[in-house]
Amino acid sequence: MLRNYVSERFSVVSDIGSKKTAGTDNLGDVLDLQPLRGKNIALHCHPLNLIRWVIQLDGIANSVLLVPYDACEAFSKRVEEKLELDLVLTDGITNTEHWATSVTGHYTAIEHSECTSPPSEPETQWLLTTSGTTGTPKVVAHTTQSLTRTTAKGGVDRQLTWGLLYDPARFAGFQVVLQAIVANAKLVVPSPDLDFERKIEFLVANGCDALSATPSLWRKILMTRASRHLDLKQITLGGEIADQRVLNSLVKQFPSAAITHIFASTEAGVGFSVKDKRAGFPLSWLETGVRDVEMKISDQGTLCLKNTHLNQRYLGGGGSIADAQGWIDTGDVVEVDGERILFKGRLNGAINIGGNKVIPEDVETRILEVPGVYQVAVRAKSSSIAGALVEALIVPAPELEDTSGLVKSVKQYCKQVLPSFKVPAFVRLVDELPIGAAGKIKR
Amino acid sequence: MTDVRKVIVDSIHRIVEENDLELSPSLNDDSVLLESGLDSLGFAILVADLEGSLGFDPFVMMEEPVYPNTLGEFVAIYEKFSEKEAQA
Repeated sequence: MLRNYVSERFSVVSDIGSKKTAGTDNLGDVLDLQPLRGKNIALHCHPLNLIRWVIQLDGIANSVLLVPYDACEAFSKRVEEKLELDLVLTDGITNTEHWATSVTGHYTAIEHSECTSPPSEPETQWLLTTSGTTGTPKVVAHTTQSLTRTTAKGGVDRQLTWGLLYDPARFAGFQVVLQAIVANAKLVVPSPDLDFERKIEFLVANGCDALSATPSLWRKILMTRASRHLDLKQITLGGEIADQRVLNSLVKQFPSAAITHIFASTEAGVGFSVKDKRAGFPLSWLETGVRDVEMKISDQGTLCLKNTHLNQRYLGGGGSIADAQGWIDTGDVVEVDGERILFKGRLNGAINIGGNKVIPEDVETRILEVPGVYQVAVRAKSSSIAGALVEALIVPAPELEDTSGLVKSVKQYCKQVLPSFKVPAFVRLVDELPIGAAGKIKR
Repeated sequence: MTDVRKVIVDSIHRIVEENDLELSPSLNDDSVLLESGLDSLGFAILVADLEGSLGFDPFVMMEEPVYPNTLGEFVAIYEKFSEKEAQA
């Protein structure tokens, strides 16, 4: 139970920002848990309150849907179609007008002692959504146990002050929150409506010395003036391939920081971290494994992992992920380069834009809906800033005489129907698509 | 020699136009890139676009990339690498 980890050392610092409204004066108080017991709740509030209330709801609520701060009407509509929600819990800071489920504001406080010994303690399911706030969110259920299994408890993390640059309602952000709770660290949470430079300034002002981000977000952090005043002891990278250049930049700017890049296959619930400040991981790990993880490279060139410590039920509920010997194919293509193994991308052609996955076929389907488009191929264009960008090659319909407006209409349509990271950054008109010998589009 | 600054500013205007972004009215050397109207994705597009028009990407060429805060710093990086390219 999360609240069992929380001691006096754990604290959350945030600025609620200018959106403070009447009724939010009791933000530091505990929830009235009685009406929430066994309920399926959507938590739609400021990140600070989301973190506080997550701790209180663990073991009380049956399930808690973590709603992204900026979730729009389409998001509420789609999750309400998918899930049986009992109520939406808000702090009055987010816009909750578009929920059909009844919205409850929390303004009353009760004694903390009443909520520490509930009669029954369900294992609360944390429902996290993937993909953007538009489009159909995929809901994934986790438990505190499954999420904190690999988290270091106590130890050196006790001294750290973690900054939170992600929405705690997203997987990456929730991981940082849980890590801080379990390690009893301090957590600094800049308000989501601050612009990026102000967020980093807020981290600096509050003594943040540990930060987790994707390589793309790290590049953005390094572009801020305030980052020059960050005094980091721990740097964590995940969610995207960490190349040597971004690691070098971080070493240069933060020479005394420990740098960890994490490889995790979330579906498989298995992963490992690399701490030597070099891209990829040592070739010798294929022989020796690392901690509880064994590794091999499949015939297709993908990395396969076997967790020697866990049994099947930990594997995301799907035993089929692993083969009979327990190997899990991560779908990540790797290449041996000297004494290192480097990551090269996804076997299925999925594009990773700053940590967000784009399936080319999804974007192609949408583009084909635009009048005047005859054929389309979507592929990754490598980017030194965002890891990759989406490029769409389009063959215009033969009957289309004037193709001048086609690029713009494709972009505009994509903007309406796709989250921003899926919208092609480059749209090019071509006479024919690049087709390989096997008849497949070359990506 | 190519006027690197002009190529960059033209490219920014085109990307802003194509992506329906709003450019800060007073774009100058002290403009903070991430506050100029280009978001981080827009900035990534800018760098990829410039690779097409100038033929190089300094952020790939640097062993320890320095990420610019202002437009002035950004232009300076490109001017430096443009000279190196010309000498090569």
